[in-house]
Amino acid sequence: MRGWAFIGGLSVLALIPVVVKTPSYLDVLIYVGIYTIVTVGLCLLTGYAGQISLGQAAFYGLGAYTSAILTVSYAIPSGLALIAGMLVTAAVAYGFGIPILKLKGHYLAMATLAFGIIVYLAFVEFKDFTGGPSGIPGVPPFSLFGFAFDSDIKRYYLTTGAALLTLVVARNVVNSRIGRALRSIHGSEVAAETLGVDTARHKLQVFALSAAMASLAGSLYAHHLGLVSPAAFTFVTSVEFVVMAAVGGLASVWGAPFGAATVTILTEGIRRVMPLLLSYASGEHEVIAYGIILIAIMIFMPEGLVVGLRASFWSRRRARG
Amino acid sequence: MSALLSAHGIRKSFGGVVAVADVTFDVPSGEVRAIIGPNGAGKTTIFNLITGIFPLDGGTIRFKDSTLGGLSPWQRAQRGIARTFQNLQIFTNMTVLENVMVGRHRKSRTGLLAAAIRAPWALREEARIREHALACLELVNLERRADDMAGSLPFGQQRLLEIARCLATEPTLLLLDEPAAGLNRGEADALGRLILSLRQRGITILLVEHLMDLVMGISDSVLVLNHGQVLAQGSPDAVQNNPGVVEAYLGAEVEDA
Ligand SMILES: Nc1ncnc2c1ncn2[C@@H]1O[C@H](COP(=O)(O)OP(=O)(O)OP(=O)(O)O)[C@@H](O)[C@H]1O
Ligand SMILES: [Mg+2]
Repeated sequence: MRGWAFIGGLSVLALIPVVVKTPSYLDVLIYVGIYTIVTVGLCLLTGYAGQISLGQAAFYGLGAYTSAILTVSYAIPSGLALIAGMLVTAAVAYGFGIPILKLKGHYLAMATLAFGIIVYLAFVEFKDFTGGPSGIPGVPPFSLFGFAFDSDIKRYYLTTGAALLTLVVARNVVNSRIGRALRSIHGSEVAAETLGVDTARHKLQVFALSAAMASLAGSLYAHHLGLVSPAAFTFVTSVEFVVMAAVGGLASVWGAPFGAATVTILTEGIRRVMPLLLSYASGEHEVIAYGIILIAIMIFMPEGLVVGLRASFWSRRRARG
Repeated sequence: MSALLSAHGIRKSFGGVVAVADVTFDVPSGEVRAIIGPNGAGKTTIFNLITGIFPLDGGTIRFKDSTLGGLSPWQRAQRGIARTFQNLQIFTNMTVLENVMVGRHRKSRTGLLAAAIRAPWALREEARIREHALACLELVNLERRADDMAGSLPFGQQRLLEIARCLATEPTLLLLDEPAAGLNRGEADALGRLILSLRQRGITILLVEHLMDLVMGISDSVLVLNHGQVLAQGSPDAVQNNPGVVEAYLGAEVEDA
């Protein structure tokens, strides 16, 4: 039964580019894949381990910049650059996590927020490496064993495949001793410790894992757009990721693609409609929309869109008899 | 024979409040040792000091002939100390069985990488964890609730679940903080039998409990605490007949009543 659902889902994903011919729609779907990867990581960190990050865009940016710098300036194969990015980013998260994961709740949120801002400023200021505010242009398409993902259709399959792989890895982790340890930290940190769970180490591990996932997404983003610049890695992007995770529902990694899709499509809609409504509207208005979405989710569907919609679907069915 | 656990001159204060003043006691291996005393006497604080939730202000605690100083709670758990909580600390985001499976953490080793790729040995270990956790649930008669969410259990059963979770760690020393709170007469009797059967299995037990029938019925010896100090210790009979205890502790309850 579940196997068939899985195969059915895969076929739908595989057939989408055949049906969807409008380039801008395919572009949106590529971003859905990329954001799904970040959201899955955030879901592990926040939904399972109960730790907040408002700095996920920094890890996303570290991946993007590592890939861009290594492929553009050093002509290193993009696959290696991507892996290097994940390792570097995980190491940064680990090192930075040692002091700050001791913090809880709002304090952790503030610390990760500050970290995100520092990394953003580094992208702007270290001009010799990062190209400053204008960034690094001319990032080549991702290529693997000589095969270049040089069209939107190919990149759709690349990002969708990477997103599925990330989901499977996350599901495996969740359904294991490690996933249980993470949930126990969320449930009661003191009880987890007294049962022999090294909570500090597990928090660091999942923080580094979520950072590596964000980095993977960042690398795919850099190769898709062909350009990295600091503007893509601001605080707003971090908030966007949190909204995606919240919309998808933090209780299950399977909510991530729904959260990523809903927010990406909504953002795209806002971006197109806003200027028509308000002539002076600029990108900053997205933040207001995210805020409203987040508040609405917290009030009406605190467990996320998937659980929320399913619950209302069932209750309506039951009401009908 | 040297003691399994020995606390020497331990002290702890919170701001101006001296919770544990200067307490020395030994827990011999294989005993059920009770700690009793009025509310605020410092019983739970002693558990927190033994398990490393708080650092000691002074004194030493030795376990299996080595000091526990500087070890984190999880390291103490690794050495064989498990505890339950007076204010329950159930993982309400998990099922009853999963709660107990967390207790197997220290006896299993699957890492992040093996988990991520569903390595065959990791799956085999997972099956062993589940089996052992189920056996622990059977010991406290909760196996039928295995797949229910832990938060849906009544309080009395949540206390039993905490015990099952501890048993999954295969502890040498088990600290029980008011396990009978909220249990009815029959359940309390069953708890007493459970504790004795655990002692039979070689688990040493340190029991904090207000229910005197239970304490006096199953303890090998009793430590009476008052205002963070040891008031008396000895066999249940000796303690019950100690005039100081009757006055300071049992007397106080009679007055209250
Ligand atoms: N974390 C803490 N912070 C501040 N004061 C504390 C803390 N823990 C305990 N205390 C204080 O230390 C004293 C001893 O508390 P403790 O919880 O050890 O008592 P107890 O003997 O377990 O009492 P009870 O029978 O009510 O559980 C009390 O005065 C309590 O208020
Ligand atoms: Mg207490």
